[in-house]
Amino acid sequence: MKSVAMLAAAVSLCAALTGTLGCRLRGADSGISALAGDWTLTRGFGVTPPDHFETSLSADRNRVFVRSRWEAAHDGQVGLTLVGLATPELVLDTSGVESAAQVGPFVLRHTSRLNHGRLITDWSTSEYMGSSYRGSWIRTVSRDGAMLTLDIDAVSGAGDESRARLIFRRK
Amino acid sequence: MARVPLLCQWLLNAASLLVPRELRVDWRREWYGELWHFIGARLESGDRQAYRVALTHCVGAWSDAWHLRREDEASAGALSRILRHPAFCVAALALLAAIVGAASGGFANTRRMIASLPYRDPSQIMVIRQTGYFMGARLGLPKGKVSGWRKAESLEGIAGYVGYHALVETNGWTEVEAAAVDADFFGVLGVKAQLGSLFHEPGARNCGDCVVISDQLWRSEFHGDASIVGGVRQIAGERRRIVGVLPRDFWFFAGAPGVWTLSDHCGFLASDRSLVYAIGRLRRGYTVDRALTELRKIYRTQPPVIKARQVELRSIEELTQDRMYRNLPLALMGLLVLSGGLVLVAPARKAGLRGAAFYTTKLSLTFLAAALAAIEFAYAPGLGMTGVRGFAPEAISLWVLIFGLVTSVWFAGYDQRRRCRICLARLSMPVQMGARGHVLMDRMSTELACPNGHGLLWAPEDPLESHPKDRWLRLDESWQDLFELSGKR
Repeated sequence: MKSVAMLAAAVSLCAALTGTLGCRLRGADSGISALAGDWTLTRGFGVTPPDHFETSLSADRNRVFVRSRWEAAHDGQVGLTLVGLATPELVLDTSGVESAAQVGPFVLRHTSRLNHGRLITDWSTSEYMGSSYRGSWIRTVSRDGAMLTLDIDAVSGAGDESRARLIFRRK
Repeated sequence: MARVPLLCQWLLNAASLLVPRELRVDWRREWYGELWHFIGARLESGDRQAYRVALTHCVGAWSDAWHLRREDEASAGALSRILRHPAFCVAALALLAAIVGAASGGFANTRRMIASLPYRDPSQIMVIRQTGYFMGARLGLPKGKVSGWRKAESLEGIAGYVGYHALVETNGWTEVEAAAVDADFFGVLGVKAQLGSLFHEPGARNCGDCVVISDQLWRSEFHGDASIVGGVRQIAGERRRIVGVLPRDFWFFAGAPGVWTLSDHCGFLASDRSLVYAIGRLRRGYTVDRALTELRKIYRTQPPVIKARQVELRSIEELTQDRMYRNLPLALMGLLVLSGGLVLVAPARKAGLRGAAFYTTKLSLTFLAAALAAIEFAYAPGLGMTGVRGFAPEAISLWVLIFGLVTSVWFAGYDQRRRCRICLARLSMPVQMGARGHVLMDRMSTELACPNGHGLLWAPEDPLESHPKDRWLRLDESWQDLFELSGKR
């Protein structure tokens, strides 16, 4: 009798753990899957984005692949607020592990996490010409899944702040 | 049958070396006997932890041995003689300088500063920059302007460069300092590859995906493998071919970037307006002023049209090997060798000369340690790829020098006052005399004696003009027996 009770307790515990973990994973999956897709920039606030800026997000387990393309300006230069965003490909790791990527003359170090369906990335750059930058990106998808809002918060090593918002429409 | 565990035996034997020689045999016998009985009794009572407890107990043997050594008068006397010997003071200061050396990789920066720059005819190499309006800031120049200066008659060659950071695929990923340079960069410097070829040499000149690496990166990340030349790695965001390794002694400003790429193939330097720094080789027969006049004229006429600020031409030797910081360690080392030698060779009867030489030795050695620390940890590493030293490294190194000089003078004087005027041993047996409240007579002072019996020092605590300062009383040879006796005890 006692052993049966213990077995039942163990099974219940396993079920509870599996349920919790499963929910968490489903939550994570739903966050990433909501972000996945091709997006076209419609509006930008606080920054002048390059023309025809498009971004594509796809997920693979803990990784989110961000592929972007745009029409390069005649001098090939993009505002520093978009450092790390106006880059052909960036892989974000949502498990919280720090990753590094080459972005122009910078080494960009970033960590990402999913929080209530929002993809939050904290990043910092190495120094170039005496300046370095750090900040965060928050990607949020609208309830109907049609709009992606990217909030950019960037601070230079000298303390200059820059805030911008990019709004994308699903293609 | 109980037996003393091997680890306990090792511990006891090692600790016994601390015990004075005449007590050592008895001490060891006593500890062994005690342990033997302890373990035997414990094992008989069925205690399985007997060996572990015995081991813990043996650790106490060290404090016992140390206590015996400390109580031993002969040892204390010998230690005191060592500590009071003038050589100990010099050795302690030399150790301080050695610690600075060990922490700085064998005075790497100082050696670089003293040695000739690893370029062909370095006195002809100039750094070309734009001066800013604020705090001596030095800015880069538009890349298009640097290209325009190639036709300048006063320069044999010119090349732009800019520093950045790159991720390099090694066993994992390594972030290193990197530089994007014009193809002529190494040609202007007059540097040859240790392995493979550099950008100015045939085969690598227009190779967009080529990369040159430093000797340090080659050794640390690629284990000095010569076959790496020709290999392809992911470097600075692209698949690039390693075409050459720079010489081991090559450095550029604060150090040598690990990775060198071609600026013509860098996306972030695509525009003619991108800012870069430049180096140029001054043609023989041209002065800096004449070259500068020509460069300014070309700047104004050459597109792109960008408002001209002040263009500056500075010798790379002047920027990297500041005369004061370069000559200071050399002067101090010369002074040290001279004064140290004088202490050793000066005859015993020339006590004043030996004292002055010993004072100078301490002063120069202490200041040398401070100067080396200032150069190694603040001054030299503070020089960026722009050829500008930041405000903090500049200020810190200067303050370390000032503090080092003041400390050296104070320490050398303080120590010298408490040394025998004859043998330079540190004085011992201080006796307090008088009291601080006695203003006229029996003023507060300390009397010290030379441990070798050469004399007594009467040192007032707060010397006034009306009272003599330190008074040295030389003892004649009749006192020698007394001091020899105290030394033996």
